[in-house]
Amino acid sequence: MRRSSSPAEGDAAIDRDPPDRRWPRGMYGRGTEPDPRFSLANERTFLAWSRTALALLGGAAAVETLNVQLAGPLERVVAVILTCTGLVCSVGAWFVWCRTEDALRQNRRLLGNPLAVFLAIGVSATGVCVLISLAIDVGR
Amino acid sequence: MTDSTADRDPGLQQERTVLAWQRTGLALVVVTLLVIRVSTESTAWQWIAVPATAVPLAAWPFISLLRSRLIGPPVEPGFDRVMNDGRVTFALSAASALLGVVLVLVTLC
Repeated sequence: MRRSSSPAEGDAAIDRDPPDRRWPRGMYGRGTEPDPRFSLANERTFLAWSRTALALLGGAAAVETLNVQLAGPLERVVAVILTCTGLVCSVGAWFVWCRTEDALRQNRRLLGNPLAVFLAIGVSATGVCVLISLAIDVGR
Repeated sequence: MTDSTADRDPGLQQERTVLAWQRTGLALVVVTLLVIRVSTESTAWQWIAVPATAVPLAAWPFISLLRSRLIGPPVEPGFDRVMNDGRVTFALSAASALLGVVLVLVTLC
């Protein structure tokens, strides 16, 4: 960060900025520094996606632990769907964060978030499995 | 005399981000404990699943330290860049993904 002991030394201090060692270099090596508020908002969006991924993984673990008694193999199917959706969200969140930060640095238009589609499919599939299980239970 | 409040970020962006990191850290710890519970019930992969789930738990203090070192104190007036870094976000993603891989192994085997 930029620091100077007096206003007269300010310009010289800016010229002596420490070398940028941030990673990934491919992203930080190009463009200009965006408004910090936008970078922090991007970081919070990444964290929100990470928490969503953790909630899905927690749901899968709960299905495995709490013996929710879904019909047949549906318990395992629900656990796998939730886990895979959580896995995609956790890995995808980082790539979306990178892509958004890159767009901010290069002053490009922000792209849509493909993770929302995966999340919608995963949660819908889980709901369908639970409905099938309920229908089987009612039919018995 | 200058008015220091005039330069202060009215949206408290840095504070909100730090709180978001804390919430995520708590979620990571809770889910890791849940996955450890599931892993101890699995006989096939217990020898690898339990140590693997301990990694995200141990990684959290490291991630917090890394972020505080890289990002530092709240943005001061006149500072025009935030020292965010892909390593911090990558570490969190990797920790969550590891939990997912362990859960897939434990569920399917």
